[in-house]
Amino acid sequence: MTAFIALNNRRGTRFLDGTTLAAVDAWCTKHLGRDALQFCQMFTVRFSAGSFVLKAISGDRLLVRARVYQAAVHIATLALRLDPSQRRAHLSWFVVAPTGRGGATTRQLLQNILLIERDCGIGRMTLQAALTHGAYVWAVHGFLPTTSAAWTALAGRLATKLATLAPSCTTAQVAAIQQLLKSPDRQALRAIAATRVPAGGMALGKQLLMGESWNGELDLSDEPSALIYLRRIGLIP
Amino acid sequence: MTNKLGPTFDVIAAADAEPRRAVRGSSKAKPSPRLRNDWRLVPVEEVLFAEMDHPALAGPFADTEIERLAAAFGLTTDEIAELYPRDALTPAAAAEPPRPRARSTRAR
Repeated sequence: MTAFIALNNRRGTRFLDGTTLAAVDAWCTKHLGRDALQFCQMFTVRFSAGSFVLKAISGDRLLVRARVYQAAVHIATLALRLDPSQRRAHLSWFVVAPTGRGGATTRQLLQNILLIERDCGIGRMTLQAALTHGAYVWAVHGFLPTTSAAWTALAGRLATKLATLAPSCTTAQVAAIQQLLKSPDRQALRAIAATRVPAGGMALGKQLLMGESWNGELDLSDEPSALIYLRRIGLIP
Repeated sequence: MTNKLGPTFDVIAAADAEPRRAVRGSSKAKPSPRLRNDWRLVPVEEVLFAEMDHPALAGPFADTEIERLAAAFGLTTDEIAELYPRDALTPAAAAEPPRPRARSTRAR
């Protein structure tokens, strides 16, 4: 049901197998303008090797599970779904090994994915901003809640949390944050994440968002969001 | 990012490593790097979070973006000063200078 591709960029070796390799190849040719092997090469540019499990669904979507290696050591595992018909990519899973932390490894992988998305005509990235740091990290990377309703629900939780942090802030700071939380505009999340007021040993916005969970999207056609993301992943200074 | 995936490609994963010679069971034999690392994989959110402490990336947003957001939400100058004080961050240029690299040869 799936296609398997392994390639070693250092030695120039590759392995392709799987019952649906032809379908994956057709998907890549149609949506990316390159074959499946070239898709994997784009994914692993600047890395030593990668192994992929690929699956085309309904002819429109491509499921990708990738393990990326640097100098023979596994440094990251990713799972994402590319849906060019909806112009959407969903990042479902991205973990990094100790050897892949620090430096530019993570940002280079995000750059590679972004370039693939660009060539597929994808203009919207989605993910679930969760876990310990995700709600803050993805807000700082330009992601916003997918709907106004999702933002309103998140704002309600943040308002509750703000009440517990209020004693460490000034009245004016609390009032300004409350004003942002009452706004129906999703970008209020960004304004909160940007706060630089210290509270509880870290910035107030960071403190509020830590441990939260929300479904996020990055609209690359929205210039401010795109600029934030491109700057964060190191594509622009 | 909460669904845990199993190992995806165990057989092919070792293809980029040198073929391992058969070794009799030895207590000193190290597990492969892949096996050694798997249990310590961390979500990318934590990696990105740690990288934010880098002075060059200090401050989640540029001043222009903060000004744009403040204008969009009608924040007053006082509110901007309360929420986004400029002195709360260490500019990259004023950050601690990089430590000099250690000598690779003994000093004479």
